[in-house]
Amino acid sequence: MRALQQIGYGDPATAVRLVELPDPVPGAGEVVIRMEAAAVHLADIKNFLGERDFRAKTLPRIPGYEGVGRIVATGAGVSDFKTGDRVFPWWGAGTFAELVCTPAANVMPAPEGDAVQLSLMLVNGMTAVILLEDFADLGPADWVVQNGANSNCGRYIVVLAKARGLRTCNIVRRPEVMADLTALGADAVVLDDPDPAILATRVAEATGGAPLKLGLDMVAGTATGRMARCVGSGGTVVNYGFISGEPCKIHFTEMFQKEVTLKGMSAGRGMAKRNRDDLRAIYTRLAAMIADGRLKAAIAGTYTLDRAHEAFAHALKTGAERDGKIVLLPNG
Amino acid sequence: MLVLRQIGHGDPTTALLLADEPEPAPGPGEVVVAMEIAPLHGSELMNLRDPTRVPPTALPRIPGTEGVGRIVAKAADVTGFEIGQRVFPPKYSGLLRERVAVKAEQCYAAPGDCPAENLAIVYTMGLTAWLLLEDYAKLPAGSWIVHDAANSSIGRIIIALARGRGLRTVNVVRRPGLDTALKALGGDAVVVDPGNADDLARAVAAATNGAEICVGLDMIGGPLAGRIARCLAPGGTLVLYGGTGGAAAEIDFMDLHRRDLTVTGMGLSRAFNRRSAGEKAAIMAELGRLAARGVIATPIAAVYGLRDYRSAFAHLAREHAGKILIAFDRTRDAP
Repeated sequence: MRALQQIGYGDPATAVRLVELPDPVPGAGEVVIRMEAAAVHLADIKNFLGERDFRAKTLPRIPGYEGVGRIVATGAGVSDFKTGDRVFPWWGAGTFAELVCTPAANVMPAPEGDAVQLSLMLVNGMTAVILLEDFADLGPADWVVQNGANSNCGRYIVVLAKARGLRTCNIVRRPEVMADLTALGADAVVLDDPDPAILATRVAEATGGAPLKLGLDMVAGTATGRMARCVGSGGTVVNYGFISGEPCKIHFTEMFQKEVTLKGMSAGRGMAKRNRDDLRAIYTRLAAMIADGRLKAAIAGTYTLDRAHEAFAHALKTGAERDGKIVLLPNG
Repeated sequence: MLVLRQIGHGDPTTALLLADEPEPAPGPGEVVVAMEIAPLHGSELMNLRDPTRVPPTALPRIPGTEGVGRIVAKAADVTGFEIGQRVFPPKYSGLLRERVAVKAEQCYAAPGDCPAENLAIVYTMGLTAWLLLEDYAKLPAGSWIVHDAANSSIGRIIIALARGRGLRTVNVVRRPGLDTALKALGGDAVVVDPGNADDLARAVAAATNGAEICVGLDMIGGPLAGRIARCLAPGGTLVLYGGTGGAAAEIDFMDLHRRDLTVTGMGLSRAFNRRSAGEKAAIMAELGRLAARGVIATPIAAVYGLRDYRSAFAHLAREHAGKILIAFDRTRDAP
């Protein structure tokens, strides 16, 4: 089989190569999945680049956090799945390969539907659920304010919040994405502004001055402080990304005047709080919402394995140059 | 009586004006306090320089955030306070004047039998330190906390109060040579900030034998706040309480993401006003006792009379070790 292999750190063009490996043979309790689609995340690229805290533990390795595919072989003792079943491998199975061999106990059934869309469920879907469930006691019609609203996670949050009866106020940097977010179900969409007072006024007007308990920040840098300005007294800002490349910058005055709390988010920690059945139930719901089109990611490009370097270069772009996610199609 | 007013922004010699005015009389529910001593905090300079802190519409105003004095007159309806009694008048009530009429219910009794200097910074700095430890560092005896600006007035009070609560302190300072002084106050470890988060975390780990530190207190903000965060154990809390450096605290994504830190801010008035009148009085009484005994104390850089406000503010703008105080019974500069 063909697979991407990470052999070092640095420019993905040299750190990652396409290799021919023997087809895996499933051992007892294992299945082999023929991958249909595998999402590329910024964390993949940061790992290739060797950024601090993102490096893999061992090299060489086959990268890829997630994806969707069909079982083509089962090992001894596998009774839950059969050849032809569509499944999701669990986090970190190394999905940038034609075939993935993994314990059957770790895979989950996947519905029929668009494989590219389903390949994005594991990471962004769980992140969105944890952000909405774990940091604030939200009641019906409560508002959630978020930046990076046009990111895939941001778009999932819009839809999942609405499904819970919550309302979202979405901060974006580009006016051209506003109509799309409204069509997705966003209750309010406001343009970001470098001046925290201007942004806070826009958010307050858009939300009718409702007290905002939860602000979700995936940008970091000064955006964290602006988010703190937007949330209400006693509110929580949860940072879950740093696309600005900067640390979270938050002024003492923004925190103490309203007793705002800044928290970080880790999907691993969020999942550790939930048992296996709860996690599978969450994924079953997410998969159904993706399959029927309610959760829909914008796709900026799909690439075959032999064009992976183009895919990674594309994934590093932002704004209008990458309006959506990059997905690999390991088997074309 | 003499009153100091801020009438503009900029240099203290032109932005401040000393005037002689009639004595105030107590209105209903009020007492008149003859100020004995009031500190000049660094924030007074920022108030003079920065129109975003004190907008022109707020001028003229009387500076002076805290201090202590004695009641010289009271309204007929005031109970619980006597003429001659020493009190802490309300904080942020413009205390750089010889006599101030204030609501009696907003005053707290102060010890009468110690030098007034001992009580100068009880009501904002002592109380800030006390509330930080009470609200954010209720930890088992022997637990470590880490804080920056450890040689500042509040930092030194934190050391003493933490020791009294059975806590151990890692005291982060900017310059070497403070080890003996801060350990004499009750500090357990003194670490000079190397200016890099990983280096500071290593130095703190070495100084504490790798102890788990769950609480960090930051007065300064900026990158230093992030360096203090790096020293905290998973699940730890960083409390911002001053922002005196003027820059936003910079907290690394990974410290939040990997180690589940919480960053929050404590505002003195909000934290204090959450409490009942009885609790507030009890806290102030305890702080007064500690200050009278010298348990919480601040080194004094210089004492000036109010007439010497120009010298006092000029001194405030220079490097100085300890607090600059205004003593209202003085007419001349003191050593």
